[in-house]
Amino acid sequence: MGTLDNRLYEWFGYSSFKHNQREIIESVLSGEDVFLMTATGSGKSLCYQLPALLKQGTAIIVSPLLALMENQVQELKQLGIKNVASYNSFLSLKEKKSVLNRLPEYKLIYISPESLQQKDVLDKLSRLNVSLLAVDEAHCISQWGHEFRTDYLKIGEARNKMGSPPCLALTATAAPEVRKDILDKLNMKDPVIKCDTVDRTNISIRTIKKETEEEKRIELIDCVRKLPKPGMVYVGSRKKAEELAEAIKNEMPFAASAYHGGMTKEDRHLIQQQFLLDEVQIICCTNAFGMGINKPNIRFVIHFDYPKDIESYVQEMGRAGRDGQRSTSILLYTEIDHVFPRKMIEWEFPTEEEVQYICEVLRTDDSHDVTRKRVESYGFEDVHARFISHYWEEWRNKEDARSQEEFINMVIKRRKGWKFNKLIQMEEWISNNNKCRRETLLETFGETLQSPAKQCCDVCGITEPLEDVDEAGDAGFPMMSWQDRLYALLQQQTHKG
Amino acid sequence: MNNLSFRQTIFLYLSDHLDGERSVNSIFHILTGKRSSQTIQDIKWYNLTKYFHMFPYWKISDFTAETDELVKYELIDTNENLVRMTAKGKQYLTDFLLHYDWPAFFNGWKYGQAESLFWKRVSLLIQCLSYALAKNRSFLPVFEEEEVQQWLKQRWPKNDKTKQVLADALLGELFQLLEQLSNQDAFLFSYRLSGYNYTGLTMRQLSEMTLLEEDECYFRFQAVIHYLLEHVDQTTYLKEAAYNLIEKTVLTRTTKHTLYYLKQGFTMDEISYIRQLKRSTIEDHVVEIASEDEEFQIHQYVSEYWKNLIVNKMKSEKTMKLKTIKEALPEPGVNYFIIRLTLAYYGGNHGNT
Repeated sequence: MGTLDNRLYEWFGYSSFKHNQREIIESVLSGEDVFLMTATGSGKSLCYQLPALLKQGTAIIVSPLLALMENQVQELKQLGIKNVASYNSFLSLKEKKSVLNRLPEYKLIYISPESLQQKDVLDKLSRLNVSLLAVDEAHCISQWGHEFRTDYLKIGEARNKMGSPPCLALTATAAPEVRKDILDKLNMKDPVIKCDTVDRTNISIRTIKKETEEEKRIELIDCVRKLPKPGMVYVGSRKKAEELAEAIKNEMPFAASAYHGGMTKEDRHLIQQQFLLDEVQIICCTNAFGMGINKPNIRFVIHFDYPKDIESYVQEMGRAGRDGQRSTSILLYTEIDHVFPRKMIEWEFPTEEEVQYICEVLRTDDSHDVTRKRVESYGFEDVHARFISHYWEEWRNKEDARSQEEFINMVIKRRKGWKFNKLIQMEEWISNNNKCRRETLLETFGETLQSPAKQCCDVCGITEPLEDVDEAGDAGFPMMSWQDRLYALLQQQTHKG
Repeated sequence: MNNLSFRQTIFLYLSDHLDGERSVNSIFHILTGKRSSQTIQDIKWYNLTKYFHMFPYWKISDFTAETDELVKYELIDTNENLVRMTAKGKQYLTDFLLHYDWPAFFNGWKYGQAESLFWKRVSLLIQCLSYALAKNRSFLPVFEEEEVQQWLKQRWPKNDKTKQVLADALLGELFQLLEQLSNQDAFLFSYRLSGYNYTGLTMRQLSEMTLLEEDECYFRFQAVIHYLLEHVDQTTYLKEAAYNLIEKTVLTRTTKHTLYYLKQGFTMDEISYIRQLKRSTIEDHVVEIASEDEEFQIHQYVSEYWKNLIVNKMKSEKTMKLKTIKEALPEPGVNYFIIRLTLAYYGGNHGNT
C-alpha cells in the first residue's frame, strides 16, 4: 500500500484510482494476463501506463489508430514522461531507425499492428526485454482482423517471438464470442477478466419502424428538430451522409455537415473540429467517424441505417451522453433495410470465381512469395488482396491437406457465417418489441439488468421525452469580413482585453 | 443544354487552345498535372503552363462522362481522337470569357508542387499562434505530418513576446498581399484557416458561403496560394513558409538524372546504354530539358539551317503538329526528335512561366 498511490500522484497527478484500476494494475504487475472491458473515458490507458513505468523493460502498446497513438504520446510527454515513442508508417526512414536503435531506452512504445509485423521490427523486439504487451481497442482483432487488417491476427505470433510477455487486452465493447476470439488470437492463458457493464443508464433507447425510406427521412427530420443538440446521425453510405446533411440544413436553422471516408483528410479534420467546438451541431456520418473522438455533450445518436453487429451499435450509440446527462439513441428501420448490410458483407470477400482464378494463377507462377501487392497486380482490390495473401500463407504454414482454394473458400464461408449471425443478432434485437430493449441488449453481452433506468426504452415507455428548449438554433458560421477574421485569429490578446 | 460545370468550361477553354491537334486525354493529363514528357511539352508549346495541375483530384471516370456530355451538347467533337471546337462551343466560351474574372495570379506548373506544403505550413503556424496567444494548449493540429511539424518546431518563437511579434508581422504581411485580391478570394483564404474559437471551413462549406461551385472554390483558393508564393519575396515571415519549396527548374526526377550525364559529356546513346533506357526515353528527357533549362545549348543538336526552317514552318502552318511540319519541310533529313526539340526550345517559354 502506498507506493502505487504515490506513483500515481507523482507521475499522473491523480490522488486516487478510479473504480477497479488498482486491482487491474496489481494483476498486471504480478504478471497475469488481463482482459479489460470498460467504458471509454474510464481510465483504461492508465492500466498499462502505470505498470509500464514501474516494470523493468519496455512495454509495447498495439493501437489501431495513428491519431490515438500520437495523442497518448503527447499527453505523456506533457506530464513529463519523456521516454515514450510511437512507431508507425508515417515516420520517415531516419526516424524509424532512430526509434529502433534506442528501443531499450523507452518505457513505452506505441505501435500499429502493421508495423509490428515488419521483420526488422520483430527482430529487434525479440531481443528486447518486453515488460508487457498491451492491445488497445482489442475488439478490432475480431471486428477487423479476419478481413481487412489481418495483421491483427498475428499479434499472438509476435507475442511468442517477444518471449511471451504478460498481455493486457483492452476494449470498450466485446460480446462473449468476440471476447473468446480475442483471448484465443492473443494466446492468453487463464486471464483475469474484468468487464464493466455496457449499460448506459442515461441514454434512453428507441427503435422506430417505418414503411419506406421516405418516411424514415421525415421521421429523422422530425427527431432532429425536436431533440436537444448536438447530435449524430449514422448512415450506411457516403452518398446518404451527404444527402441527409443537405436535407437537415434545408429544413432547419442548424448547421449540419457530412463526414465520411471520401472527404479529404483536411476537410474531415475541420468537420471533426467544428463538431467538437459546437460550430456544427449535427453530423451525418458513416462509421468512419467516432473512434478516438471524445465529445462529452452529444445529446442524441440516430441510426438511419443499422450497423452490422450489436457491438458497433453499442459503441456508436454510446458516444451520446458521456457527460452523464440524459441522452437519446434512436434506430430507424424499414422492412427492406436487411438487403444492404448483407450486400456489404458479401462485398467484403472475394467471390468463389475470383478465388479459383487467383489460386490457379499463383500456383502456376510461383506460389511462394504471395504478397498483397502481388495479388493486387492481378486486379484485386486492396482488402481482398490482403485477405488472400494472409490465408494463403496460413494455408502453407498449416500444411493443410486441402487445396488452396478449398482452404480459402472454407475460411470465407466460416467468416461470412459469423458475420451473418452477428447481423441476425442485431436484427433480432431491433425487431423484438416484447421485452425491454436494455435487458435484451445486456443479455447479448452476457449481462443481466442491474437497476432499471428511469427513461429506459420504447418498450418500457419513455414518460418524459427530451425536448429542445432552444428551437431557434444557430444559423451556422458567423459572417465577418476576411480582415476581421484574420485579425481575430492572430490578435487574441487584444481581442480578449 | 444546362449550364456547364466550372471544370467542363475550363476543359472547353483548353480545347480551344489545342484545337484539333490534341486528344481529350491530353487535356486530362494537363488538368490533373501528369508529369510526363508529352504533357510537359503540350503545356509549353500551347502556352498552358498556368492550367497544369488545376484539378489534380479529377477522376478519369468522371472526366470521361463530363467530356462525353460536351460532345452530346455539340460544343466539341472528337473525331479521330482529336478535340475540335464547334461554333457553338466557341460561342459558349466567348460568353464565359467575357464575364469571367480570372484570379489575379495562378500558375500550376510553377507552384503546383509547392502549394500543398506551403499551405500546410502557413495554416499550422497560424493555428498554433492563435491558440498560443489565447493561452490554450489543448487542440488538434490541422496537419499532423512530421515534416510540417518539424518545420514549425525549428521556427517556433520561444516566449509570449516574440509570439505576438510574429503574429503581428504575419498579419501585416497577409493584409498587404491579400488586399490586392478580390474580397472573395481573400475570403476563401482566411476562412480556410483555423485557430482559437474559429475552425476553418471545408471546401463544401466555402462553396455554400460564396455560392461558387466546389471546383471553382478549390481553384481560386489554390490561386491565392500561388499568388502568395509568387510574392513571398516581398515578405520576411511568410517567406519562411516557402523555404526550400520553390525549385529553379521543374524537371522530373528521371530527367534530372539524364541531365547529370549530359553535363558530364556523355552522348544520348551512351546515356541510353548506361541507364538501360530506350533511346526514345532519353529523347523525351532532352526535349524536356530543352524547354526548361535556360542553359540548354540547342545548337549542339540542331543546326542553324534546320532550326530556321522548322520555326518558319511552325509559323507559316500555324501548327504545333509534328506530322504537318515534317511534311511541309522542303527536304527529308530531319527526324521527329529534331523537330520536337526545336519546338520545345523556341515554341515554349523558358523557365517556369
